[in-house]
Amino acid sequence: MNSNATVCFEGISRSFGGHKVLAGASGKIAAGRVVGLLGRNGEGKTTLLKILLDMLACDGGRAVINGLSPDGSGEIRQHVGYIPERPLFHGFMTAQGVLETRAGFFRNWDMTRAKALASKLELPLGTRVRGMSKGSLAKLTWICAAAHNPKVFFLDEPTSGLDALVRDDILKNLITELTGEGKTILVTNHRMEEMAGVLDAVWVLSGGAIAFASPMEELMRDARHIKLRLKDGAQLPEISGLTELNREGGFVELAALSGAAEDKLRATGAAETMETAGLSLNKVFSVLLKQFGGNRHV
Amino acid sequence: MSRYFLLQLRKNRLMILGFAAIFALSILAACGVAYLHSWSVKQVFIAYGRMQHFWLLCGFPLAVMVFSASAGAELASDVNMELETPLPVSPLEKFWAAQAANLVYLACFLLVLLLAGGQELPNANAAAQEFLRHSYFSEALGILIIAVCLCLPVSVFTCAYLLRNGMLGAAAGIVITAPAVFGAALLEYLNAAHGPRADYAGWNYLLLPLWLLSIGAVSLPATRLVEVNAPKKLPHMAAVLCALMFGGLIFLPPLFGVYRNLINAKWALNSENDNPGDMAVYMGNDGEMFFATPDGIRAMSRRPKTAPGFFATLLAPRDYWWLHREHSMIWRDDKSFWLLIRHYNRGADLMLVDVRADKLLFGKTFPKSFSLWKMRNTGKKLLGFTGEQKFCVFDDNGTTGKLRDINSKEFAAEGIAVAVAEFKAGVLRLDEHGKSKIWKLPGIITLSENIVLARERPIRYGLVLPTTQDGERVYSVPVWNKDTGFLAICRLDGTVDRAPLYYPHPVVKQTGGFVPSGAIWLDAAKNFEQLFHDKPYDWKISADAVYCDGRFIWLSYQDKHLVKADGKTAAVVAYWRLPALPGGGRGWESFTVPSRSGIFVNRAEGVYFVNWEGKAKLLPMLKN
Repeated sequence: MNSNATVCFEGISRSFGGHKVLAGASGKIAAGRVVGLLGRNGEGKTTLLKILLDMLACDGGRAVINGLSPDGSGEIRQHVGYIPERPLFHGFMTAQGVLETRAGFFRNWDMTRAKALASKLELPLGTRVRGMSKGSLAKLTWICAAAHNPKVFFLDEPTSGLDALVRDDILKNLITELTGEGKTILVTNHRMEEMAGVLDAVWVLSGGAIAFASPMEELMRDARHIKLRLKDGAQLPEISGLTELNREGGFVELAALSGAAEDKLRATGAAETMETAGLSLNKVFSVLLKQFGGNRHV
Repeated sequence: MSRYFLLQLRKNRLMILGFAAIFALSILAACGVAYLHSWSVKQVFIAYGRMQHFWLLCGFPLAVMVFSASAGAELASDVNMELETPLPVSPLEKFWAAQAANLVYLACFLLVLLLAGGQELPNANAAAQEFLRHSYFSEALGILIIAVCLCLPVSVFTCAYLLRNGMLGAAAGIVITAPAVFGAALLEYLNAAHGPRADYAGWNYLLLPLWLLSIGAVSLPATRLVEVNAPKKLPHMAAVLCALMFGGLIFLPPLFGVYRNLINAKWALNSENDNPGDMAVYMGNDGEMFFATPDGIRAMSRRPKTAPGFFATLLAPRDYWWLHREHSMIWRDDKSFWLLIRHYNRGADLMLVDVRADKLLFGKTFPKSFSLWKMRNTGKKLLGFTGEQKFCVFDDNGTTGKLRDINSKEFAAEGIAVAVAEFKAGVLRLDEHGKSKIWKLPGIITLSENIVLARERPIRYGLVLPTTQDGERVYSVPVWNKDTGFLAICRLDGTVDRAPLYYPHPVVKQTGGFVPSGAIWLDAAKNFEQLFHDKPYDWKISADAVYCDGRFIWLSYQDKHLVKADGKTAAVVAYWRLPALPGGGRGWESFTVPSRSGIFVNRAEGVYFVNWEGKAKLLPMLKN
């Protein structure tokens, strides 16, 4: 295990009944890096996060988060800010009560910071949880995740189901701020393009393992949107790394995640005309999921 | 853990409040209906009492099931997992904190029910009734109480938590607890019927930690199963269920011992002097006191305070060293008595109890440094002795002078003329007012209750305390000459009277025996052998001399027969079977208290009075 990495896991596996969800997932995140974890529904993103958070036992593998290994004590959670996919709080408490309760559990809880965040996000602390809107619950979750000043954040669909205004609030005010503070973040998001500008790397979880991992900069540099017209009677050659986006007669739109695939396509001479351009972030993630997330290897 | 415990209390407070509200409403409804139906305040009180009984008998067990099942299932619910798992608390801590919160709420609810009972609370009289019902059935009730109050909540909670379902958890909890309860009941039944009761008492030290370990062993796989969704569910589940059943089985007997301690740990107080009336006094470990007369038994209405107190008694099975105590009791002619109780390593309590007035006239606690353990009555003065060969004098109101060394000068300084007994020489000498008086006795002087040893080595002589006989000061010492022994009563005019050597409670065995007026009790033992077909030279063949009227001596033989024998020839004149001992007497803690007209014996069904003609009467409980 790399001791320099803030988050490091190796060979994590986990089954539910006979269904193997994780099968040897491994990855490392250096301190201060932000990693986006892509994967189709049911691929085990939440399971992986829960195992790393010591909330779920794994069948095999090891993990070290901020120097601590999951051991059933829950100590890891003292040092990690966690945004669950479905935020829940005790309905009988007010937001203020939630913060006060949490203050009793987290050693480094900073109530001043919690209140400042509440003020920034315009969350009224006197509101009872059971009467809160989804947006308010999301804001409260964010405050609870950040108020104990963790160095590591695990964000599981942090903007899921939120309206545009709340989403903007969270994205602009919090995620950007956290990345600016050098926090280490592992985030899953079905709309990963929202995270543009903050991601340092992207992983694709597929078949129970990290099937693809690339720095974001490299990915954006190499990803190509290719438009071509096939020669009469020519067939589109099967080249790995190319994903077909659209086809109308002889006109084909392709996405390539590396320059090599584009070069191989040119070398076949199947295209009568061919234009290349950069690929949008949205398309990149979509292509990643198509290429790596489509087939389960296990 | 404390934070989570508080959170659990907060979360579940509505349920306890709900139950309390239902309880209050049901009481109000019962009283209201009773009043409207009869327009009688008395009926209202009856309805109140019945409803309170209903709640104790049915409502509380129901509350145990509902509280525990819902608390366990809620802790393991998906919603709660999503809600509380992100908190940095280990599943094990959560499990224990929630268990503790559940037990605390149940205890509160039980307290509310008991307090609401008011006049229905167990009082001294009820405790006395329990004392009389020293039987298997009352003990089985104890098992049930413990099972309902502790075993069931823990089992139901754990099962509901494991199965993540309140209904299933409650059912499984009952199924798991039942073998434990029946096992403990069976064990107790077998123990009562066939074996010494105290046999496993010493194992309690081991059993209680074992139970804690088994519950601890349960909690780990249970929380792994539920909270972190550990794989290999079946082995974990089986381990949990086995541990729960095992835990229930092993923890009930020791806890049951605690309960038994409450109802059984009462002992009879034997006085150092003659009982002025036909009376026996019993005392519980917690200080409760019962007065038995041939008419019946009544409890002292106010419980004298004695260490270690009620809670120590509650928590400690009997016969343990920290409960160990010795008592010394001296009757006064006015049917009051001095009682001195020395507690293990903790000083002593002195009290003066007036039986007729049913009250404590005097009570005082001595520190460890003033640890008195014996009292003697010289006729004029009451003396207290420590184990360090020191004595003090009590005045009439129980206050004590300073501790003095045991020697003639110190006794003289207190105005007590002690005689010096030279054991081997058989000489008794009294120096008083500058004059010496010497009694030469035909034999060796042996130790007796009224001879105290001076602080000198080697022990060659003892100090004989004066006693009174028909208002006259006398010095009495036991004298032995070969196989013959008698009590020499040395009078101040120089004469010596012989009296049968009689101790209130000597054990008379076939191997020696004491000799009243020359009769050798070995012969008596042979008579008993013929009478009762006991084996000769069996160590069990023993007889307690319980009374001597000068001509006849009465003995309690094996606690099974009352034997009247001739004091001179040892010939058995008559004998009667005493009320049957429970379980054949094995392990039975028997108290035989002699009085002037008969003896008091304790049995499973209560205390009997047996007069000197062998007529037995089961004593009823009398109201104060």
